[in-house]
Amino acid sequence: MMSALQQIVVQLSPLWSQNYVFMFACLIATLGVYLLSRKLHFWLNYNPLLHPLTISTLTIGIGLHFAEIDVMAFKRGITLFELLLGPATVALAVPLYNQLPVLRQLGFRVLAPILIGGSLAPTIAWLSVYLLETPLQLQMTMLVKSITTPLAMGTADLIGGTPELAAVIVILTGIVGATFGPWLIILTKTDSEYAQGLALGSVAHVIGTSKALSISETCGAFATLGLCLNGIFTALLLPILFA
Amino acid sequence: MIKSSVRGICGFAILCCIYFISLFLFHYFGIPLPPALIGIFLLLILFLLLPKVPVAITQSARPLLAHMGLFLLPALISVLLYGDLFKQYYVALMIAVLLSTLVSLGITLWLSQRILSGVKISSQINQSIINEYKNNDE
Repeated sequence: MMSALQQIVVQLSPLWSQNYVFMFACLIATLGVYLLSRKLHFWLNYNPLLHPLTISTLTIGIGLHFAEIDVMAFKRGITLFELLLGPATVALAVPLYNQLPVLRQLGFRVLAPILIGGSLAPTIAWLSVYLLETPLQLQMTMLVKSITTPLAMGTADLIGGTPELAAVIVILTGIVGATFGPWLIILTKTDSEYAQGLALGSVAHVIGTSKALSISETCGAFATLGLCLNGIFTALLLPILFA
Repeated sequence: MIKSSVRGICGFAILCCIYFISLFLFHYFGIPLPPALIGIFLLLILFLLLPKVPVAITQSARPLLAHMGLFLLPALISVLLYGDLFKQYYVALMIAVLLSTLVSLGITLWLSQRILSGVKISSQINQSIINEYKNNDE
């Protein structure tokens, strides 16, 4: 009991055990860069290649390099944002609950595309990194590539991958999926917006979902369902198989 | 205005509590699942047990989900610490990401079109699921 509580307190401890001025400076700088890159994304018509997360990460990375601030120290400074990821992920239950009527009505016809997309993507990804002879740590990280980032990080941690690397791979996957998604939809002549949504959501998670929302609201709703269910299935199954 | 912000704060507090409970369960019982996933299940069970979904939770969920990106930045930034691994394997990574995403997205689109062409959900359900996206710019 005590040791479980202790582990939680250790996770929270950077909040009070550091220089507050530095901490607030880091938080405000990060928030500013994030909001600006969101604006930029909006001005550039939501081009997935210029996703706010890529722009913010690059900006902060370059900024840290020139200001000669240690990455570890900066990361400690923005622990608050890292901690908020937990409650935000829990909130995923809300859209999932709202989509449950669809699942009840269509049943397996909704589950099948999600299962296909959710198992195909990690299999191909793992095969290619396996054939290219990368270390095991990288191979394990690759398995979580198509689920929503917060669940991917938690899962990667459990199966012996690297959470931070998982975050980057997942975002890259989303960007690739959302960029080429519209072309692939034309190429495969997919005209059912349910199919489009499920495929985009289950292969390209949140970034695919915002692309799906730009197609139609129904398409976005199905993408949300795909994103939530694939996230849950993968995060359930991988630790059972590999942990 | 005040009422809705109080509601939002209450909802946020509930979400935090659920997350802490799931963190505790994760460490105490050693459940082999990401803590956040345990939290999702707890919240889902709560929704299914309650006669009506509490507005407080849905209201606070919206901004949290919309700004998930901000909470991911710490992880993305710390990738700078793994620069060496990246430098060594970035070709393999890019090939794997591009190939697997394009092929699996293509196949999934094609197959789900076969499964779902002509399928229609009832307009009532459709109305209820897209309502979520109305007034949801931020």
